[in-house]
Amino acid sequence: MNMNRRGQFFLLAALLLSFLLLLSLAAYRMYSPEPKVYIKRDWIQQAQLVQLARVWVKSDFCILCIRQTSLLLKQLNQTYRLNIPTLTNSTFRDRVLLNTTGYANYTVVFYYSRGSVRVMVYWSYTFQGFYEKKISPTESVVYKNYTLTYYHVYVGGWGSVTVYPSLKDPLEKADLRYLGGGEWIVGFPSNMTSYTLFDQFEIPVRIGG
Amino acid sequence: MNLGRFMEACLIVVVFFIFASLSFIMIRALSNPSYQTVERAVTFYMLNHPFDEKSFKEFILKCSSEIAFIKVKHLYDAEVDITVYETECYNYVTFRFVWIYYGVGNYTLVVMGVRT
Repeated sequence: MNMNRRGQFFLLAALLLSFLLLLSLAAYRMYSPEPKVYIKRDWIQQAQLVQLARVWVKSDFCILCIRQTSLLLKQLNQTYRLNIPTLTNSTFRDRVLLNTTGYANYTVVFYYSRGSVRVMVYWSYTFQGFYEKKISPTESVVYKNYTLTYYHVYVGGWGSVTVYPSLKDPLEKADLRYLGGGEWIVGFPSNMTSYTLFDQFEIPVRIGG
Repeated sequence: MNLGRFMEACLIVVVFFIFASLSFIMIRALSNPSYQTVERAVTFYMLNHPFDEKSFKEFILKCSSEIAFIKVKHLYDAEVDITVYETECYNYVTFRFVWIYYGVGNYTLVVMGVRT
């Protein structure tokens, strides 16, 4: 009889203990909803690095910009606990911009202990000829005609993603036509040696020498 | 059955039911589908779009019905704090991400809660 009682008390004690443990965990979750036992690092951290790389490309890999934005990211990472791991990076720029043909390749790679994030911004163009564009019933302007290929490649935890950003023409002097798959036809006045378009992330895309 | 035994049995039943009702806390983790969905959706948005508060809110609310809140803080020349969307919710996991811009110290911080 005594042994039976002891067993029952033991069972009750175990149940009460687990109940109290769960209650304390619930209270912990309520007042501090983020679990701190394990640091979640996934695609969001890597996507933030992609945006940082786009800023660097926009600055044409300006050293000051790279330093300032890297420092800012480090500070924000500490302040807001973004869980971005310690990083090293390498940048690569290959650019040949001539009148008839040209290309630019900006690559940024972020390395961290468990992998890397690679961002490539690429465009190439080829001169196709001239055409006349009527700007009024009596006046026409000679335009240069180019074909342009423009895309971004992001390699990270998600695999490899190719993005074809849209292009904007702030000067509104160019003829822009999108063919699909990153292919564009661009025409601009022949009195201009080069013309700069901007993509949706405000990265300048220069066509012509 | 005496009163003591009856109370003991009741206590065991009550404790068991409370235990079972609270055990979801242990089971639900960061790998739950709503967290994963939102995580993927945010990544998709970040890779494909420049950040725009309105379009982001529309996009993310279309992707998931488990959003507890979205808070967006812009820092340009002056600091602006905007709470975009909020519902009453206790159990949630927080996402935080920043969108750094070209220029000194410009960024947008997004804090988002996803129900667990």
